[in-house]
Amino acid sequence: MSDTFNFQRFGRYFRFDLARMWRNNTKTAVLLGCGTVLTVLLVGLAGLLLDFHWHTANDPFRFIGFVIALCVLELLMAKTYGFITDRKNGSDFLMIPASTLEKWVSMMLVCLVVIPVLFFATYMLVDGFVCTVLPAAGRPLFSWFGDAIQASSDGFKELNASLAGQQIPLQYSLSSIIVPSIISFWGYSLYFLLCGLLFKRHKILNAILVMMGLSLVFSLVLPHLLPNIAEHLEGMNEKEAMLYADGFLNVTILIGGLIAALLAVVCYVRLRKIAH
Amino acid sequence: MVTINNLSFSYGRKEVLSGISLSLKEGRIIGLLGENGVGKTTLLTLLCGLKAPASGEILTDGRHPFDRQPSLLSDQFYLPDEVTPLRMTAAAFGRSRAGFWPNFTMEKYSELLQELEVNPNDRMDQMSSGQLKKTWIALGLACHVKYYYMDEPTNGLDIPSKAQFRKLLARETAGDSVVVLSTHQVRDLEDIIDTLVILEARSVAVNATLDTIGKAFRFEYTDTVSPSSLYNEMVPGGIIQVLPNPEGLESKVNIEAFFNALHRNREAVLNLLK
Repeated sequence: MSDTFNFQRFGRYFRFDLARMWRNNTKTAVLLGCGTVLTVLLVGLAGLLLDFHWHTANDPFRFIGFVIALCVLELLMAKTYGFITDRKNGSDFLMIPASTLEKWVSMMLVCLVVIPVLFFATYMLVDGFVCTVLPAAGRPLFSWFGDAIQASSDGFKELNASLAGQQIPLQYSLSSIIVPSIISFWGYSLYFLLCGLLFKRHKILNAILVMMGLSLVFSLVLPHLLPNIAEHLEGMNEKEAMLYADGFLNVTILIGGLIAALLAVVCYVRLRKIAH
Repeated sequence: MVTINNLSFSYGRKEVLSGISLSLKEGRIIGLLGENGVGKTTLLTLLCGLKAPASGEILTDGRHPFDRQPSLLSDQFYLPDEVTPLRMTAAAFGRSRAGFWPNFTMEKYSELLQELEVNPNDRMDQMSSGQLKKTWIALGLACHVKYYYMDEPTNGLDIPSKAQFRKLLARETAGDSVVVLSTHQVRDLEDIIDTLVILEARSVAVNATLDTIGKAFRFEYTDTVSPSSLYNEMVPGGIIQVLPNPEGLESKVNIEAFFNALHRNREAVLNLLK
């Protein structure tokens, strides 16, 4: 039996990992999945306090609630496997007879696929239920997402985008919306996951502080490294500008993908080298 | 067999183990003793692969423990001093680990839980520390592995459980097992230990079987202290003393007295052991 990767052993470990995830994170997941209920309650209470009337949270509020829940989910990635840095729990994890690669693949699947899918499904289900019970809340979020996917999957659509102050009729397709969103979600998830594996205490706070520091550094350095977009766009006709913007988007996706891949590799190295 | 070659380990600038070399042979139950802070737990965690040596190497059947290869992990069990109270019942705990260790069976695990008087339906996060420790001990012994590394295994156990632990350890470990027990509670385990490894500051002071120690020293319970006594202590009913044993007389090794003799008369004890 291979010491690097064995499908049978991986299957066993993955089931074990899923059960642990379920045991430790169910409450949080349910709470996050009920984001719409929380949004409706908060908006309603705010209305009662401000003008003594109950206001049911409509689509924009519920969408903002969903985005906030998504951000909280990203932050909580720092906690999902954070137990590994704890001597007691971490030793138990390291001594389970599975290879580091198997543990890492399982971790990636749990954090990048299982948790987001569960969150999304729970959120949409609860939101749909709330919209059924309270018609004033508007359309369920999943119908919005469904429409967006339907519209973009019909082929290339035009979107008036603003790039470096210039309006460009940018073409977009399903993949040009979904792929960057997923890569961006994975990138942030992996960042917080890695911080959870690196910091022993105050994982979320430290992750946020490091992110703020990195943002500051990048905001100072990147303008000197990146080409001046406005200068490039000057003198281009509409078609050239569109192609340029498309290329720019592809480069951004590529860089995002590379950063996510790099973070995933660093997570593996951390797992390989962690000691207690 | 575990071979340790010139092993060193430091916490930052503080060197805990320096140039240690020893081998742990099959079929031995090794008592790892030493004062607080000499590196017993560090050595155990190095042996099971939770830490990487700063220099030198550890080879367990030719494999480096820190590589944490599944084939080696499934042949060893590490019991830490403080075990994790998981949010599940003892029975579910066993089921969740089944399959990772090839020799593990739920039947044996349930039998061991019963012998250790642990209710399989009790939740681990609601158990007393002793019950929790016994649950982990049951899991470890049901794994039937070759290498056992146990850090203070009797800590938190009540008196009947300590006796039961000794009985089960002797019964469930195979003839070719290597069992390393790090402990301060030598009286709890002296009946099953057959080899002593005593650590002192950064190195190994003693690595000898109890047979060897028994041949070199005499452990005597008397009323008067002998002038050649290397260590003596008042105990209920008389005095226990450690004496040189040039005549090769047989006596039961008192590990605690031997440890104290080494502490008190290091050079003399080590010379006699040579």
